[in-house]
Amino acid sequence: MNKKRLLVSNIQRFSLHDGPGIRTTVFLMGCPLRCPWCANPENQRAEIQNYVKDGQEGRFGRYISTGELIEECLKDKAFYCPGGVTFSGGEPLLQMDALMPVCEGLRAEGVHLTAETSLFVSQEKLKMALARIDLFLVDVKILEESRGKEVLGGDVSIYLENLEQLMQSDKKVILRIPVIAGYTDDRENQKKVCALIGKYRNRIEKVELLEGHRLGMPKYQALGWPAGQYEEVSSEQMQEYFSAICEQGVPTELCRI
Amino acid sequence: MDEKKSVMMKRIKLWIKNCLWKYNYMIPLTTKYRMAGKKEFLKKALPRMAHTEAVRGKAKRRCVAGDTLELMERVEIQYDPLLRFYYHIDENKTITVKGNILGNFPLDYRRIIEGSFYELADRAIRAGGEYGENAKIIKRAVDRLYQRILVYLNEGGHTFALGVFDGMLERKAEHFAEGLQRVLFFNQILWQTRHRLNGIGRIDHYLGELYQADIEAGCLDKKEAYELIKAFLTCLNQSYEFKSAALMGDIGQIIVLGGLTERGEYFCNDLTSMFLQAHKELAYPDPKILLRVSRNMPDSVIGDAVECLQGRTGSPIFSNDDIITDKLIDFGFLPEDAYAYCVSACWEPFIPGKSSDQNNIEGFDLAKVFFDLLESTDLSKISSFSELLKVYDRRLDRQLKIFVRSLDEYRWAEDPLLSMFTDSCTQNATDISRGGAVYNNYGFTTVGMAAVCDSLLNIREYCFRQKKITLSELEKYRENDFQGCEGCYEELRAMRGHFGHDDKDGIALANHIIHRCDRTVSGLRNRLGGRIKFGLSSPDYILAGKHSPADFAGRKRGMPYNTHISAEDAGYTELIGFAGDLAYGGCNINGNVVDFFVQPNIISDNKEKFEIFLKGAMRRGFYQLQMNIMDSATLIEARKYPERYKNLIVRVWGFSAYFNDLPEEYKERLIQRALKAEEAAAGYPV
Repeated sequence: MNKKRLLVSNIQRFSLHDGPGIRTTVFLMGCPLRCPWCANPENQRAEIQNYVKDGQEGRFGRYISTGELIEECLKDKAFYCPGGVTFSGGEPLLQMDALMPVCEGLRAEGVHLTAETSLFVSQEKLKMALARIDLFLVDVKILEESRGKEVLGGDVSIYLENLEQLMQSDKKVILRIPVIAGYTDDRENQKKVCALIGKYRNRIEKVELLEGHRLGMPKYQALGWPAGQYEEVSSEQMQEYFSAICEQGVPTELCRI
Repeated sequence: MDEKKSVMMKRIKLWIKNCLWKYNYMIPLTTKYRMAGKKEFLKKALPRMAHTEAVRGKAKRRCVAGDTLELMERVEIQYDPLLRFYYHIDENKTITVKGNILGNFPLDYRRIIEGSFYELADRAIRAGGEYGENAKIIKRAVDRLYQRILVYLNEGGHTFALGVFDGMLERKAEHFAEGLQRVLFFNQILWQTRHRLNGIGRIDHYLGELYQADIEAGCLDKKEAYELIKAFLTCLNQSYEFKSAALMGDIGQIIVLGGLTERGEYFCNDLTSMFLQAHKELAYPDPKILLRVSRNMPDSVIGDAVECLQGRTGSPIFSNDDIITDKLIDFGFLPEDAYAYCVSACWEPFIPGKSSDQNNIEGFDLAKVFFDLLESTDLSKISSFSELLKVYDRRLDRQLKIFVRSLDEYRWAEDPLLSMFTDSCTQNATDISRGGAVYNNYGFTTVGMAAVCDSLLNIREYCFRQKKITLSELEKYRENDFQGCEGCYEELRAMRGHFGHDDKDGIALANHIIHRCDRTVSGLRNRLGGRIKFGLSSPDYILAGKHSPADFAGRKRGMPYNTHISAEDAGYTELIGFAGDLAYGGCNINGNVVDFFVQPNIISDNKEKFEIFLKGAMRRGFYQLQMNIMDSATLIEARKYPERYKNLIVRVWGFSAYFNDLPEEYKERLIQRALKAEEAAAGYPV
């Protein structure tokens, strides 16, 4: 991929759920994981995706220059009080090389930067991000090594190392926990997640507990891919999980889409 | 219709308005039924006409003052103790008046709160001549109504109303409740004498000191003040159908709250919040609220406003003082007047007590200029976009001048009561109808800007850059409403996205047209010596669209124009960004409203973020902003089951109305806009 250009699938202005205030969220394509509940399947592969929706052919994704992206992100600068730009995906840190000048350009304009990341990336990429991003929204999915490999296709030890490095830094961290029946909601995983939160309780701004949803379904259909199958988690179970996290002494939010 | 024919039709219309004054008083009372279908119109309009008696004075020489005196002698006096205040309009009696009665304004109520009516009238009487004579009769007329009400209240033992009524004309108001009653009393007289669409003005400003003094003296507490405000709003909501002008709910009793001061501070008080809160609680479509906003305003007032928005009445509309006040000063209003601005019935800035400005005198269709051009020009000779634009410019200049000149056909009815309330009328002994006010400007509204911008830019791309087809060929398709050439229609539709979007060319072209209009009208004067103003928001987007052919950007024949400054497929911040880059100022000061739909949960789930958005929007520089807090599903249900949604309120052009009172075209338009807004918010990836 051309280093000076970024592969993005969407730039969503007036974004209210990806960090503090009013934000512009940039969805970058390419992800090392394959979470069965992924709501943005079009962002999994680091290439432009063809799709068919309502009989019309279309393409997910386009290459954009760093200058164009900066310009696009600055359009709503007047609204970033508070607020700013969130890099999401896919895994935005995968495109960190090309994102660097974008971060520099936006920081020069005083724009607050957030990255929504799985942290399943190389230490080098994380280091680059740590020097430029103000807030990290980090997913906590599956913490058991073999399950992580099997379900997500990722190396949990890398994730944990990166998380440790992030926690060692002075950057703000919000954890996001998708609660997906049959994948992340088992007792064992919950216990590990709670322990992890307890370990870093002084470093975590907030924990967001997210219910699974099926808003990504039309995109799977458009791409012609099978969507992962999973049941809904009962509200009692969500509440129970919520209470368990609250016990760790960290502000916790139950988010419904 | 060619220009000559159109001018002739207008002359006939104005002749009926100006000259058939003994009979045409019925027209405004029935306009609201015009879109209901012939049968329904007759069913509703005939009884109204049959029951309305035009009262005339006893003197040989008929005059407005004499007829008003007789009217005040004869109107029914009736008090509903549940209303607490005295407020009753006798809907069956009116006066006939030669010329058009001035309307669309807020009375300067300060004069009968901070002073007495008698003082005001006596000053006018002392001016002498015919002006003084008329004032003398008006004083008697108001006094007669006042005395009749006093006797009635006294006999009925209605102590509260009597208490706040007594002394009303003789002295300045001494208590908060008295102030409210005075506004109601004169508002009632205005309606009774057919001053349509009359606003309430800056009520928190006018009554703030009385309220504070009562609180400090211990004769009023906040709870009682709040109850009084609710009673006041309930009184104003009476005679809802009678007051409605062009459509049910088009009443125009706009309450203006907050506002920047000349010193750069933001004015607000307890009443600002209480009025917003009471409005939300009562959920009446009218009276409605306009909040003057500024980046200097406290967050708490924005919070109150967002709370009020969640009441889904369409109020408040936001008016951005950081932009508007300077533009009013640049136009020629004195700074003290600019900072005291209220609005006419919807959004057009108006200086109470100083102006006769008729701010919604007529609408000008910018797209019609374009359609006329297409019909009358040999398009094969136009070989470039700039040539086409030049032809449009020349035509715009010419048609706009004809339009503005035609406004001089209006004759205004003598108005001794309004003259008393307006500076310089009494000083110069000149009635307001003859240009007695300090400011005597005319304001018109414009419609069709988006259709022109998007069409012109699409033609540039399609015909002159891509050269897919010649302009003449494309024009043939358009004349035929794109029938049989759906492919071309779809291509053009997909290419729009200039007006209301982040499109430098769209902004530049809109500003080009604004500057052109400004240049054309800035040197013109009306017959009262006043200037001409215009704005980009108009009530005509449905009616004017109904009679217009297709454009080149996806609008087919008869479809509505864009509602004010809006774009169905643009996000909120994108649209606000576009609006912030428009060229306000010069003569373009007559109301410029951004209009969009917001799904209720966006606000209820993110109240704080919505407040941040509003503050950002102020910084980005919108002129005015109104919102429908509504989802499409509710509207669709409400149309299907009207009986279940009797109280569902929507924002129409500059007023709020019960959804099911609206003609079908309006319901459909609102549903379509809500659906598009939801699509835009869902944002399918690029």
